[in-house]
Amino acid sequence: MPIFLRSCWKGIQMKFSKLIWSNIYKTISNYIIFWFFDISIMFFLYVGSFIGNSYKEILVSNALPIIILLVAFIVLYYITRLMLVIKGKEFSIYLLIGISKNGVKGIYIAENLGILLLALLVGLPLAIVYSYISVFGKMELSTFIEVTTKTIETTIVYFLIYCIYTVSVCMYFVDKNNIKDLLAIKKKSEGNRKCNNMKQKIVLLIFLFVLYIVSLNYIEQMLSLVFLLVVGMVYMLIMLFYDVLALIRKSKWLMQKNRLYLVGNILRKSRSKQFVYAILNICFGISSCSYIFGEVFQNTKTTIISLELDRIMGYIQTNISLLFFVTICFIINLNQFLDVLETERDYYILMSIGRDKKSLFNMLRREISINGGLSVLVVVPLLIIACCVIQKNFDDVLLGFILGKYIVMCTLIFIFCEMLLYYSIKKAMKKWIK
Amino acid sequence: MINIKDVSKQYDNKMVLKDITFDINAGDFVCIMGASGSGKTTLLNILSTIDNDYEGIVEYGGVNISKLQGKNIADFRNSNIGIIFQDYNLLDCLTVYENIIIALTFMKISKKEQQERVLEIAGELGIQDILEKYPHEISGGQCQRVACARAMVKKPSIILADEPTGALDTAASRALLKTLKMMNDTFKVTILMVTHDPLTASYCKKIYFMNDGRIVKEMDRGEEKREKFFADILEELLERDSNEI
Repeated sequence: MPIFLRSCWKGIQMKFSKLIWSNIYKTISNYIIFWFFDISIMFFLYVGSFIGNSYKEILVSNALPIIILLVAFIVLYYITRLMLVIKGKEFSIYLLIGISKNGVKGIYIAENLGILLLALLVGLPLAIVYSYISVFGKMELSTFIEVTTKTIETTIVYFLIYCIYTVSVCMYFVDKNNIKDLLAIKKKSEGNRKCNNMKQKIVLLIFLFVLYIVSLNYIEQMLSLVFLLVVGMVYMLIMLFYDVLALIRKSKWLMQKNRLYLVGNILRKSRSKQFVYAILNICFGISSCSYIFGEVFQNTKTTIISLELDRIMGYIQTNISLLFFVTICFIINLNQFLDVLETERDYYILMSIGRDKKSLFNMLRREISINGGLSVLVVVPLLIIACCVIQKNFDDVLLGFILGKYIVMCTLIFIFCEMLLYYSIKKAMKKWIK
Repeated sequence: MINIKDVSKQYDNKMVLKDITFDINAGDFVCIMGASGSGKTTLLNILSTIDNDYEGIVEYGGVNISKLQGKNIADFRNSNIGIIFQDYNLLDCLTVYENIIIALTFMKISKKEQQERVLEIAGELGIQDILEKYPHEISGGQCQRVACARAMVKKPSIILADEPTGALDTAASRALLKTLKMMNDTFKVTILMVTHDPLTASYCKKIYFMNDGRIVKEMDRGEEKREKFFADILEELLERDSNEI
């Protein structure tokens, strides 16, 4: 029997199932980000497969679920590490009271699979409803049912691959750490970000930028390379931002009012958290480019396959990009909200050394703005490259109009999410202060 | 310096403080002793202005703090009160140096003076070598000394300490209490400490015993030696215990 099945079985044998479910229930706030992430992965995997199954002749659409799966693999690796940071103490206590490592593995795997199953149960129906609405009137019902059946099968296969990967990552992380490591894992990740290899990062960034400029001449042949270059540049920029903050930590400029805590708090994020945040921001940018391309498919007179197919593809692409944008926006904000909830004790300390509620709240607002600003930093370069590609290939597209429409829509969604976050934090803070 | 008059407080229809009245003079080293749930920490929260939902009057040098609101109360706390907690309450995301200086960043003093004050207090408390470290990289005793430094660096008129030795071993507790005594003797800082440990209480000049939200007894050390005062406290506790039985 494979090791992970044996671990799961051991967990159930030891009557941990009750513990696992009560754990999921109790730590729902920790898992919520994981859950939302999994729901969106299930959703986009299904929609990606649906497009692939509907338009077989378009090779690129078959690649969509695979790209989504690859992005999910990377993010999942870091989310699992992050979850272990949160639950490290709990697991070390299980080990201390005599539960074997396989037992702990079983608990962790079963918790993660439970979350995945819940995500599938929510994400799949949502995706089916969404795809039905998208093709309503454009596809016959019998064809729709046929494609849907096939897509569900494909999605289940992807789901199983995703489950196996999750189990492997969970096992890897629990195996890697002993009791002492699990107890220290959180402490190690707190507040110890130092400025690492900043010069190398700048050199690499310049190198990527030069490559990008060179590749612009061959953009038609090297689209995927250019895209990867931009993603790499964006990632480097985000990491540089953290490094610059770490570098100015000792400057006198910091030694006033809220700045000291603000910078310390931003740098408190563990490396995994910073990485997850960077990836989410890159996804943010990808959705923007995807939207622009979708609009071009819909509006250009130049045909790629056939005019009708291009329109339908464009329509689906713009919708899915917007939905992806909303999801990522929501996950980023939720992430921020959970971060703020973790710092409740800090606000109590700051109040005890003489801060008033108003200035604490202003400080929080500034932190939210900085994190929001990072997202803009990501979206802008990606939009520039998307516009370069569009201009080169489609002369008849009203780029200004598309960009304007997109920016207005994004701004509205962004403001809505930020306001929601702002309101939730304000409410939470009032409760703590009381 | 501090006048507490008829202070009462209730939680969910249960009186946790009942007509507390006593005064603390400038330069005093006062201790409040009592069992768990006797109302010590509630009283300390009121005195530290963290809790302002109570009945009665608390005056600091003639200023009635129950009438202060919002920014005024924060400013008052910042310039007059230093607080030391049982579990240190240091900010994990800041280094020791930053944890101390953060208390000064809210005050209107120059950056040069901020730096000088931090280095001075760090030297006094023997933590000058760990200024670049994070709280998780130092021991419990060092953490508590950092918390003391953060409370002291503002040069407050009073320091409130809530079970400051609660999380420390014997050697670290002794070192901390000596530090508090030195702060009281050298800098003439008024200290109000809450504890249930008689050995810790024996370092103080005056003790108020609390039971069920009331002050039931007052003990003054006067010119007595600490060892004798410790014996008196133990005797008092034994007497109270036998009375309860």
